[in-house]
Amino acid sequence: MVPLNNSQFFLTSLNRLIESFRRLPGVGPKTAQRLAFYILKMQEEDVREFSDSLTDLKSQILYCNICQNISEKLTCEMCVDKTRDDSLVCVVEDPMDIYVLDKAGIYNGTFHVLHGSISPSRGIGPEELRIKQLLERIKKNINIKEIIIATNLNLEGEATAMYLQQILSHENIKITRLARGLPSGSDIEYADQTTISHALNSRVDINENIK
Amino acid sequence: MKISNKKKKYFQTESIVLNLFNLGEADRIVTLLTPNYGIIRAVAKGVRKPNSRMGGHLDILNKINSYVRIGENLNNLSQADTIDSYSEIKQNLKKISLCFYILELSEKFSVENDPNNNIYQLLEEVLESIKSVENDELLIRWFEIKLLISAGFLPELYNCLVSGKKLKEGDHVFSFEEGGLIDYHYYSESLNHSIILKKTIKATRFLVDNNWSDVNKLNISQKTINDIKIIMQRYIRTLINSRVNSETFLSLIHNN
Repeated sequence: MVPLNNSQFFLTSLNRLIESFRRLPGVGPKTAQRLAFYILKMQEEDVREFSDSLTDLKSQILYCNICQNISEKLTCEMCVDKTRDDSLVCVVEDPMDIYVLDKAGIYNGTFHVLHGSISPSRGIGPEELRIKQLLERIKKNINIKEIIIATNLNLEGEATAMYLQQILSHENIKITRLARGLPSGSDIEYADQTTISHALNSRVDINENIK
Repeated sequence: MKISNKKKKYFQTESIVLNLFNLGEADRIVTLLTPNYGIIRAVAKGVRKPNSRMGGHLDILNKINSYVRIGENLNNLSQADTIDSYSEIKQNLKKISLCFYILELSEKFSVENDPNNNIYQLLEEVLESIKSVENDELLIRWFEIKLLISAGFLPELYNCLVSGKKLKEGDHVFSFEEGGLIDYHYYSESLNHSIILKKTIKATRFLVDNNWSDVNKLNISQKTINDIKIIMQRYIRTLINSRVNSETFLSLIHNN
């Protein structure tokens, strides 16, 4: 089947919208066309609301001056929340990670978002991440007692964690890393050797856990 | 060599994971270097989810047994089992930075669906050596030179590329455009030239002709290793027409 050439069949404005959708991750040409035609059928009011929400996203969203998470205020809700323990800082790669960690309901400390991980082949080094802001935050806030490194458990996340450990080792702060092991609901039969070795190395005393 | 034919829908191969890119919500595109098919890119479905059977096997640097289903546009990785996760390397930031550089170079000098068993074997040997290496600067230089040989870009080190005559022993000039040595009196500051000392030429020739176990025993001064580094990195940049991104991180970690 010959693929459709958008510029030949569709109007310029429709083409622009299709091309805009195609820039989104996981959206191919067919999905982009479907979404564009769906918007064409939507009520004008709904389309306006949709487009306003897109423009507001860029104009109204800032980065919190403490944790670097996305925020609508200079300092985000989490950082001004006095019920949170500001002696704990959990360092994550992306804002989405905060929601997952917070949803678990057992962590009541604060966060710091790096906005990525060290990925040398893509030209992302420590300078491109918000590590400088973390160091400044530690210098300003003497309450910080522990940094929990919660970067992803892959080579890039590990490289980021090791780099952070190196530069924070001079500070008088406890540095911890999220535990690695078998995920809940998984079968040992299918676990890889790295996960198994980590799970064995960080095994816990079952009696202590029961207490 | 074209890997896909109408009858063959799957193939199994040993491979090293060079790179990973997120795709959609939970998928990844995996870049694999294989001994018989060159570089292979394949979609690994759902591997970002914690319960994925393949996720733990698919990390950059892992040597895996991979099962690939040939697709019309993109291949699919249907199964992966770790052969070696190089855990000794992954516990050391200096070694990790070295690997990022080596993997990026291997990717840049390999071609998709084109077998180059030499590059795969070289990468395997270097990763094995990194586990216990002490002089990592020398190992990188040896790797760069051997990679250039495997990819067909061995610089000329014995004859002048302008006159064609055998070069006399002494200091000469490396021409990055020509891809090797030229006689000292052809040196021009305006051209892409760099002066190369007699002992640097000798050391480079030794790296070309010998395997790592012999090179590792050699006592080369840090200054000579540095001179080889400057020449090789500039030559590589000329060949690929861009910078090697991992160079910056490698320098940052090694100079700390």
